[in-house]
Amino acid sequence: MTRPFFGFLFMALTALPLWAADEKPKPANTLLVKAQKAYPVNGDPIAPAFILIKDGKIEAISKEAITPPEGTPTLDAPVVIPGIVDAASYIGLRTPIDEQSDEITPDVQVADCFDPSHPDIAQALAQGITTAHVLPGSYNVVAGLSALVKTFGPENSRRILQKRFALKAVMSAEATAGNSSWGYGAPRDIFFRRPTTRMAVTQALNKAFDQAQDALNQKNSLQQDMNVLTSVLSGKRPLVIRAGDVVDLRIVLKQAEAYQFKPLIEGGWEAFKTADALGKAGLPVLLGPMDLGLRSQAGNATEFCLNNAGILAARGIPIAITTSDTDIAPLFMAAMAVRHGLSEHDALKALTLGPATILQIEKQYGSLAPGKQANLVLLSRTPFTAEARIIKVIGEGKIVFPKGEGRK
Amino acid sequence: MRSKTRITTILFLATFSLLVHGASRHLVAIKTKLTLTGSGRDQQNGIILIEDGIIKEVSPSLKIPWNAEVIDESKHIVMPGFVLAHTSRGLERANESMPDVPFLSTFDAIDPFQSFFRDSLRNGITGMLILPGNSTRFGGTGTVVKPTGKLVEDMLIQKPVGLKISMSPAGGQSRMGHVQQLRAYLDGAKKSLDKWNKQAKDPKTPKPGELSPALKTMDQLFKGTLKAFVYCPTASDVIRAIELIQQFKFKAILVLGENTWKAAPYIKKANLPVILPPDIMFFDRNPDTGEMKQVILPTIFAKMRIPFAFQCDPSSYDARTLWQVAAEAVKYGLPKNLALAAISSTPAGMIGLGGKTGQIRPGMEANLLVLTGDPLDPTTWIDKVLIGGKVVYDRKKDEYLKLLLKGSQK
Repeated sequence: MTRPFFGFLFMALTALPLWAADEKPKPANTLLVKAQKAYPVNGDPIAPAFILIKDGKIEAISKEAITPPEGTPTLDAPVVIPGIVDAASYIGLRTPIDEQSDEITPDVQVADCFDPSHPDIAQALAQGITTAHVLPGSYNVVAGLSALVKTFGPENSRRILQKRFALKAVMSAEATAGNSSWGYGAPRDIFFRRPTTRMAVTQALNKAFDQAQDALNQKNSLQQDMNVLTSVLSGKRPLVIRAGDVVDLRIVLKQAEAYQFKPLIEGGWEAFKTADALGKAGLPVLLGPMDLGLRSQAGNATEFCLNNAGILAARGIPIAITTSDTDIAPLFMAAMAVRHGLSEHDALKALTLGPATILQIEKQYGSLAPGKQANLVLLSRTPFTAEARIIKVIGEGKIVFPKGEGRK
Repeated sequence: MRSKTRITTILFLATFSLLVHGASRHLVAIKTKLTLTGSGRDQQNGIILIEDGIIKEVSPSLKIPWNAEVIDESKHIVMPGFVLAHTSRGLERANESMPDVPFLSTFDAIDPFQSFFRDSLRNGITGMLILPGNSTRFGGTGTVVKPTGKLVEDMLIQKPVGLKISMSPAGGQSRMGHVQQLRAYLDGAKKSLDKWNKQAKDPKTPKPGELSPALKTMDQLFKGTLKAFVYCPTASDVIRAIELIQQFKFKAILVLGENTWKAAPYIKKANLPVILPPDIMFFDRNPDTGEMKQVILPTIFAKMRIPFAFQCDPSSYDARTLWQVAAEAVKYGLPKNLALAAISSTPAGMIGLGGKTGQIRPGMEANLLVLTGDPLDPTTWIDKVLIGGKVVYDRKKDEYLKLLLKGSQK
């Protein structure tokens, strides 16, 4: 129903004073959340906390009681944190999401694979994720453009907040997956086309940026995909490089120096090994969950460090805890990070304001402050305790989880 | 001279008898801040008295005997060790390539050097049943071990425990074929055993030869001395499993997959205990409307009063350890005492350790965990693990954990 309709209804009701004697004028879209404790993340926790939401945005947050406009519904909650921002996500994508025609495909957009009614979006919402940075797949070197999406709203509407958000590149052995000819023989078929070693992945990525650099220097009339690469080089668009092992991270560090950019590192499983260099270069890390089943003592395998997040945070490296290509609950991952050495404040920040700042969307997302999008997660208890569960999720001022409890 | 010898002899004998006496009665007293007994009331400032590895007394007002070794954990919580009722980890290949191999034993394939055992001990598991995997029909019998020792003989608690039967079609077979083969094998074994028994009892016929190893196992199953652990990945498998269990009258525990909750009323009717899958919360998608429904398995089974145990999966991230699974269940509304029972006393009963482990009360083995806080809190650590009253794990001496926390660089 549209606003004019409501206006008409309002007029109709006021025109019938006998019938509608008790009807009060409907206030603007407001909601008051009364919490025993709120974690704004951009400041110290507030207890108790009153959060007034108006038109999908936070109007005020205060320790003292707020008198809301008349008729404002109130919601009681034990604990409130900001909606989780997942800085490296693969939700809502109809596969395939790996462009196989070339190893360098900067102009393909993951938004074209995004299906707003995909079931894993509902799961992400149930885990408290309200904003997700969705990336294309990891099987080619320059994978394409990411999208910023929200996990709620009427299903039929497009939930994409921004298409062509960042460029994703892959600097790891993943970009060689499936690239070999049958029986590892001579390069005689179409499968033997793309890089098959780390060496070639590095070379392909460097070559793409070298060409973009040349194009930028010579001010050539550029092809469309060059525009994407040059926009990254000139700092107009974020670059996400997926890299996990320490050898890959060292290459990314070299590239950051050579091309004068600051890529966001996705994965970063062995980042603790080069924490000093990453800190010096100021590269943020979007930490992904590591597949513990693959852990091995063998020298060639990725080494696993339980306190990876804590070691990086101690060096002042901006970190985000992300779901990456799994469906593991971010709050659980953060609780495990706290168990192994990350401070509670840093863990909460790594779920909210940290990723928002890394993605440069902190003006709207990631904290509880006036003017921000009213994305809230209501918890039963203090985060990172055994019984803390998500009771409700508020998206832009409306209850969006669990379903069926939205305001009428 | 003579009297001197006599005195010496008496003294010697007295000392010797004391020594012998002392050796047979090794007393350990553990002071705790809180004892989670797992059997009724928990005790503040408790004392647990252990004699030769067996719990003798549990009481806050207990007078500690003068000759007891005192372990002061008065700042820590002590609870029973965790029990894992079903796993196929720790084996060098968990599935035989042939489907009907009830005569095999996991004892022959357990590799004590796998990191799984160290991880299990670090996370408080003091007893576990290792069964063959789910890719056969009659996979073999299981072995109950503790996760300590360099030889499987040292790890062994008891065997054979449990026979693995899988309802999941193996080797490209259809479900129809798989279930029919199970039925035929059980039927064949039953007939062969009946014939053998008849022949053994009848004095007119010559004594039959020894039973084949496969029939020996099946004999134990039919006699009820061996329980079947029946793996059912789907709800329809549960129904077929119940049919087989009732037709051939054997004792069974169902090892469930995610979607089997839809068969819970039938499990209740058949009065069968279950082992839940490691992921206890998932989303069920309505195929018609596409609507996603959050399903929380333990609360469904708890409401119907079906006995259930949790299991963990070391290759998953969020169900790696038993305490993580129990914590997840509590988060979604399962009462804490039920969640703790599902990782201690209930699984202990399932694998033949009922009355031996899983609770802190007189007569039980002293398999205990010393915790820094609430057992299900993510920031709680297991400081010590005791098996049979002996400290078998000490976090301070856990070098591998230090490496995991620091990384090898620094």
